Amino acid sequence: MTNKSDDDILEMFREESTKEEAFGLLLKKYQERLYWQIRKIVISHDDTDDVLQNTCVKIWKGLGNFHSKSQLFTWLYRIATNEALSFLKDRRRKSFGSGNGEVEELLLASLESDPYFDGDQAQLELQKAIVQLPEKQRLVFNMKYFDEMKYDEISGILQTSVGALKASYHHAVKKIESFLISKEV
Amino acid sequence: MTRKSNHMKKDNPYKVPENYFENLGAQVKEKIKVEELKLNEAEEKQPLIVQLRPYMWMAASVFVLVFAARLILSNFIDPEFKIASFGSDEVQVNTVEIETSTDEEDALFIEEFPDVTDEDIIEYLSDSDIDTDILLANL
Repeated sequence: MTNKSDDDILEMFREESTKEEAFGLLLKKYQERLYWQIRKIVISHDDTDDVLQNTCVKIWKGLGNFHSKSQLFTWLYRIATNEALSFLKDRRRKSFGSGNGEVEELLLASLESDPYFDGDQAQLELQKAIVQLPEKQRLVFNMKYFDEMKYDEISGILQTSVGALKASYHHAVKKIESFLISKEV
Repeated sequence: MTRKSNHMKKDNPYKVPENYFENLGAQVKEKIKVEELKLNEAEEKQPLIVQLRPYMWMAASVFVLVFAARLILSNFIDPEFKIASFGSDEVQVNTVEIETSTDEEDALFIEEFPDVTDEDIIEYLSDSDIDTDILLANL
């Protein structure tokens, strides 16, 4: 199968006769990246599956109105990130939590009980440290450290200035280091 | 069996169920079909109040227009004309006519019935059980 460009896929999507085929190509091209973006935010595979499917439905509904002001992948990431954050917000509301603490505990519990976590002890400790970061720092750290995305790209997705992102990443690294050192002692 | 991702550049401790991504497209398409079906059903099964809403707006608009037109017109119409339109003048005129036209009417009556005398009238009225004293006083 030849890899079609985003513009080709968008053009196909706007034609009723090739709309479904175009969406299939789009999913194949981006589904894994969107999955991991969501997974790093909501942690458990089952929750990620729900959020990803909702994300895909929203993409289907909105893609016809997408105009190339930003890159397609930035737009897709933004939808996925928003959906994942909304999921956490909803969970926070349902658990009658007043702060991030309770959601962090839920995420930590998800991490420890997740049958689809296959890391060693060191990786588990690193993930625990990441889960306990404030939401924004966690997002930035994951995108920068694991996905090795550029600040410009992250800035487009999170709608935050590069300076603020750098500061968030710096704080996140410091907190993770402190967390890991405290575990070693 | 499970698989790990190629899309996280650092070592990824998370994994997904086997064939998850291979089956995801079909699941998403199914979900989209269900969503669109729900949307169509919701559009078809709108409550009566929602279906009638445009007509209710139209009726309300017409009512407001008629009310506003009456209000505006009533401010521009001559107050005397307004009174006349309620018939007050006519009532007054009729009253005056009743009070002032007895002589003329009597004259017409005499012309039309020359053979009827005053005595005939008194006799008729007395048979009709009307107070004679009152009638005589008004002759």
